[in-house]
Amino acid sequence: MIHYKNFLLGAFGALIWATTALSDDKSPPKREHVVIQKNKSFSPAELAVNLGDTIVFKNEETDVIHNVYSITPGNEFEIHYQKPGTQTPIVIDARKHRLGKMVIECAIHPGMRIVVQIKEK
Amino acid sequence: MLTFSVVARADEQSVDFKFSFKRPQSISYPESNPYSSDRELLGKMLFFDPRLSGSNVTSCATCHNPSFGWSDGLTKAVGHGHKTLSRKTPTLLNMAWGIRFFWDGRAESLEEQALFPIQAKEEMNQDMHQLVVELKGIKGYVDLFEKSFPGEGVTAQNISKAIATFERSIVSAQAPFDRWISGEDNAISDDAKKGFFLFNTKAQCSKCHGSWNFTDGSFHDIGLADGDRGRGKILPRLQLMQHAFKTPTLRNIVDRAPYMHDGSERTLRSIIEFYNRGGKVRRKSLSEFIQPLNLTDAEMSQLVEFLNTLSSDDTPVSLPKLPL
Repeated sequence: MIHYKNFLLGAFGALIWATTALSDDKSPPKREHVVIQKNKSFSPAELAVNLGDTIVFKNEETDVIHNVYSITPGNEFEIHYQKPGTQTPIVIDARKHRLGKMVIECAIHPGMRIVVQIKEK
Repeated sequence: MLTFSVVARADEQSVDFKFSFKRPQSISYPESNPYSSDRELLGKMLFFDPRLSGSNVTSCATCHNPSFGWSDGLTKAVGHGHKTLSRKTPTLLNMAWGIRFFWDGRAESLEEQALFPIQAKEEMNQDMHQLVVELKGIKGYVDLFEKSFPGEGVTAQNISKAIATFERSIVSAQAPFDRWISGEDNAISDDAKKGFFLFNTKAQCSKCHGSWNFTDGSFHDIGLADGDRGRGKILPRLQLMQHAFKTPTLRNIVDRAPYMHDGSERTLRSIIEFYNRGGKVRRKSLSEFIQPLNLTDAEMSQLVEFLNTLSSDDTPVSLPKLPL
């Protein structure tokens, strides 16, 4: 019985160790990147992110609505009407995104464009 | 006296709007296709040469006719085999400042755009490889390609670059409106000034046509009652882009009737009446700016008067001599 209890404690300890080790790998922590929409342009115009990061799109116009989207194959998404003063996070999730280039534009303002490079952790 | 004070007020309040409508000083050319006079001349020759079509009888200028404001005066374009196409021919005026091209924006540059109609079976129906072979057999063209693109010669890419260079030179000249915003107070009538004020306020035209070229380069569903999905064919998942078409320039607009992508409006007055009603169709993709405007009869006349001031007295285009 004592042996069985020790075994359980040992297994529990191993699990704690494994979880800690996995979460403590050398990959960078998940980051939040902010993209500002102002004067009908994105800032920055280029961005590098890792899988798992989040891009927050902030509409800082005074009276201009945006409709941000990407149709880059494997990286499609759309933020519908986005009003001034609002922000929308997009998680660069491995299930929804591919490594490589993601071109993001505004459907209403075709000159607006940001190129995002998605990298592995 | 009352009329005078209304004009004075509109004039005064229009000062804020005028700033957005100042013309650029020069034409912009991309680094990937810098200007040269040889490229412009070659592009002009190719543009007017019917041998760029499979039938050898249709040139770019057949539809983009400078005598009709670089369109064709037809409700809808007529293509290969005299078949009517689905949309009206858009003008080429001021395309140097374009962002996306075609009514649905499917081309990102004039260079990319130029090769579409040449190869489209329903338009010019020309095999591109065959066209390069044909042009290589015409000495005058071989020499001009070499001058324009040293060491490269006749290629599909250089055909598109030359045509795009010529198209960037198609710019509307100074109109009475330009003289007015530059300070010549009597260049346009009092009614036109009131029309400009309405254009920027009650009529909401400037929401989409509010720049020196009178276009935002964007795509909007304005509530026309046809089934064409426009930009929605390119971006099928974006609700806002369904039935959306590129905002056309209003420069020299009197030269280009009938209007709209489907040629459904015959006069400037009928267009303004269309917008005054809030379009014809209500649907999810409809632009938020399309709503009943409650313009009076006099206000609609003032808007027409203003639009008439956007036409320039452009120098007639000379035709190039083509090599055999």
